[in-house]
Amino acid sequence: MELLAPAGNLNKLKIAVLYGADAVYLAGTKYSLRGASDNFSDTELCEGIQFAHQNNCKTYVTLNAFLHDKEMEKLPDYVGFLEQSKVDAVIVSDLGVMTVVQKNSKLPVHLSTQASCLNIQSAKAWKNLGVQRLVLGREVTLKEAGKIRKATGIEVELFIHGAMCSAYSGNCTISNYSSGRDSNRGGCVQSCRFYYTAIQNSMFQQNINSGNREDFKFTNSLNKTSNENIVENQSASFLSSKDLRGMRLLPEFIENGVDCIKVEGRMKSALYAATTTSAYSRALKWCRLKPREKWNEKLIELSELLEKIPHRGYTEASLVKQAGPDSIYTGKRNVGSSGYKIAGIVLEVHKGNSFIMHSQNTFDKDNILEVLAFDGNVIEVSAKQMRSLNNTKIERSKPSSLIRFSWPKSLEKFEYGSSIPSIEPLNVVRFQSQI
Amino acid sequence: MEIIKVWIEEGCVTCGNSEEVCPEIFEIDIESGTAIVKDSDDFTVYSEKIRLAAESCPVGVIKFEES
Amino acid sequence: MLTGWIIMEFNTFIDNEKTLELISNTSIREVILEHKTLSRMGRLNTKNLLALTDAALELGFSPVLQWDILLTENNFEISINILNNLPLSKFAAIRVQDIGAAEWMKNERSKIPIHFIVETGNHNLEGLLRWHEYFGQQLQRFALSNELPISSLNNYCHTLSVPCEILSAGRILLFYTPRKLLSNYKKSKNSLDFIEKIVVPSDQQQRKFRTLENQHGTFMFHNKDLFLLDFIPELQNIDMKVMRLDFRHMEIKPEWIKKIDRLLESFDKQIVKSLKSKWPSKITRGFFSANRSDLAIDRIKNPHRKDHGENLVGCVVEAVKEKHLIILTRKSFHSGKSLLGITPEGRECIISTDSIQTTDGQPIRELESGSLYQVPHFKYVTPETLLYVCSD
Repeated sequence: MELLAPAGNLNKLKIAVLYGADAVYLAGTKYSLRGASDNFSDTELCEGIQFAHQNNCKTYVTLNAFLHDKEMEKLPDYVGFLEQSKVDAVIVSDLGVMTVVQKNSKLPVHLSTQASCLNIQSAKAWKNLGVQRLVLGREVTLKEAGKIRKATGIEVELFIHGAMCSAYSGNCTISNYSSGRDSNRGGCVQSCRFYYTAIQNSMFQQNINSGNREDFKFTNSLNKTSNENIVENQSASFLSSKDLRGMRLLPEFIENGVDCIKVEGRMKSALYAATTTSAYSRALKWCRLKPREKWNEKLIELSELLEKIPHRGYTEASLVKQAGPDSIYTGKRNVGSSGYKIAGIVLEVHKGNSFIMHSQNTFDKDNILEVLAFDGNVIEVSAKQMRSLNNTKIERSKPSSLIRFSWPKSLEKFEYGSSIPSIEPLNVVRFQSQI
Repeated sequence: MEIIKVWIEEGCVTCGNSEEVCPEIFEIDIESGTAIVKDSDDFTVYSEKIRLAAESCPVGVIKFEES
Repeated sequence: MLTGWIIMEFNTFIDNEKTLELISNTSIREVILEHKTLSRMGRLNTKNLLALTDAALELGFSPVLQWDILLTENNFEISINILNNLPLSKFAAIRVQDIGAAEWMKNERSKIPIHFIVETGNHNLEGLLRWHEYFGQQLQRFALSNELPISSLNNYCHTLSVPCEILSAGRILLFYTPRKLLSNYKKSKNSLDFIEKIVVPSDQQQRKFRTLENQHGTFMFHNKDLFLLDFIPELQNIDMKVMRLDFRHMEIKPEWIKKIDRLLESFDKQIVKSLKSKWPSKITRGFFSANRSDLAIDRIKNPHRKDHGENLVGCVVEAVKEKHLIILTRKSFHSGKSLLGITPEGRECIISTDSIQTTDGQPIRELESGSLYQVPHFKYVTPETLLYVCSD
């Protein structure tokens, strides 16, 4: 089974690769659904692909916008470029885009979750149309995914972690009509995360009482002029879905023959990329190497690690049975704090001596920093010994600055070079923030 | 070419784009559910912004006349 | 150029015999019937659906069965059970959105025409042509997206050999989820229950989204109805074959249906005007005139993001005044080259690497990719300044 991780920019790509992703997905500057994400220029894309391939990691490029005709004009050139760059596959949601890809390249096509492929018949149609892999809709249960896999023989990929649409993906145009931004062309304003008030309309009753005097009337709906609405619910984010966490169900992903598990989140932080990729890649490795009876305990332990990144509360959504009331997020609009924040990223290591971290946050000398090693170990480092590159003591860190730490004592008993754990460039460092 | 007249045709989706691009001339009228053109003696000063608002109107309902 | 106008027609939904009689002396021939298990807005059980189908046939209508829910595998099996017990040959066509439903028709009911709802994710000709190629003769209608502007509709109607349809008056669906968001799952077991509420975003009070929940999930509609009847002449001109009238969420007086019907034969601006003034909600033409919903997206992107090309060799990660700049390299290169720096604000400067050093202060000649190096501080330069090799 393959672990597919998001790569919002070149740096996050490298982090995902080094923390154990088997494949990463990324987007160029056009044709994808994350308009506000950094995304990859052509040069960065080539660099990213090269880096991933050197580390035995595949790269999939998203072309998953629902494109209008005008935007299709330059697509053949871009597809040609992607093929030359040795991209391993493209992810599309629209048959038109897929057709252009097929006419202009031999690139394998993965069907995006945006196309809401939910059943065996749909899987057959897409297979006939030349799709190599289906990213199934989020409404599909693991059992259903297994049936689809078995009946069609086509590769299936399922989301295992991350933020979710509460609508059938691709079937929400709130942004289009309320903000003039096409949600399916990268402009989603995340209307489902807003606060709403539900009002019970009183017009239905009035219509019945007033007889048929009006030429038109609404049945049970809003009248142009009526202000007599009764507020029913307090303002709440009731359209908003909790975030998916499928770690505990990994055995069922495996048993149902799912070919690839996918983590959502090209817009998320480097801490998110490191934490999720590390947790799921270790889970997969564990399940590969250990007998079945040892799985559950480990998966619960790894599942706990995912509490240490910001999230909207976790749900298993529809993986076991159709998402129920506990899948709706009613908390704050902005994702709640997990108690952990990113401290920075390790950029230079002098093994046995010191390492330099690029700070991305503010923390003081009383904080304990935790370096997330690539093998899953967490190495504690006291902030008391922070120094600038000029060797002056630092009391409080600033974002966009470099901090030198002497080599942690806890690592001194290990031999350098071969032994683990170790601190390496591009390790992500976090700290526990006072809440 | 300077803009001497601005109007909004039927079909506004009140996305707020025009107000964001050129608040001097456009505002959202919540009651009527449409963007409206504010009273102004002189549109020419804002020609550039008005043109940008019209070009980027998602439903293409902002119209103008040039001198 | 009046070649098209005679053959353009309306279709509409019916769920009772009264409505059927009401439209029987109009030009409307195609009626869409909805089964509660198969259709998003369906209210009819099998018995009532069949009775209505027979009544429609008797009055000379073409009944079309709407099977428009999206189908997870389990729901698919439930749908098939219903369909297997329906005399499908009585229907002039089956309307589907789920590609699996269309595929099932192709494989299991190849004699019955498919009316394909391509309202989501089908905004280009390339895709529509491919669907036609795939489903062949059985595909006899495209119900096109109301996000398409008239320029696209024109192109499709003239290029596709499959008749096209658009919604011409009725609610605009914005959001469809299988989750039960209004009742929060606390509801009776009656599968015919429809809950309807108005849902208002806290910071956009003007938008009063009509929202409906039933056994298939939750549906949120625009606060304005789509209304394109003023464009009948234009639509006739481009050869649009079918305009859908959706009165499922309102009641309409018989004479008004007749007036709307007559617009096809003799368009009357005054009628449309009075119709608009009597319409029970606000109306919009949506994206009919233009769809530039991709443009605003560019404005949320960082304007300084562009392809920096092969010349980008690194960026500044720390700037300490009067001391140093620390550079993180992205490429390997020799010291001594001058670098062009562009700050996040767009200022340009030339930075010499003659005296470049490692972070430990050792002079260095061969710079490796992904490493940190220091040079003397330079005025204005801040972190995130991008560094390019100057072309000589």
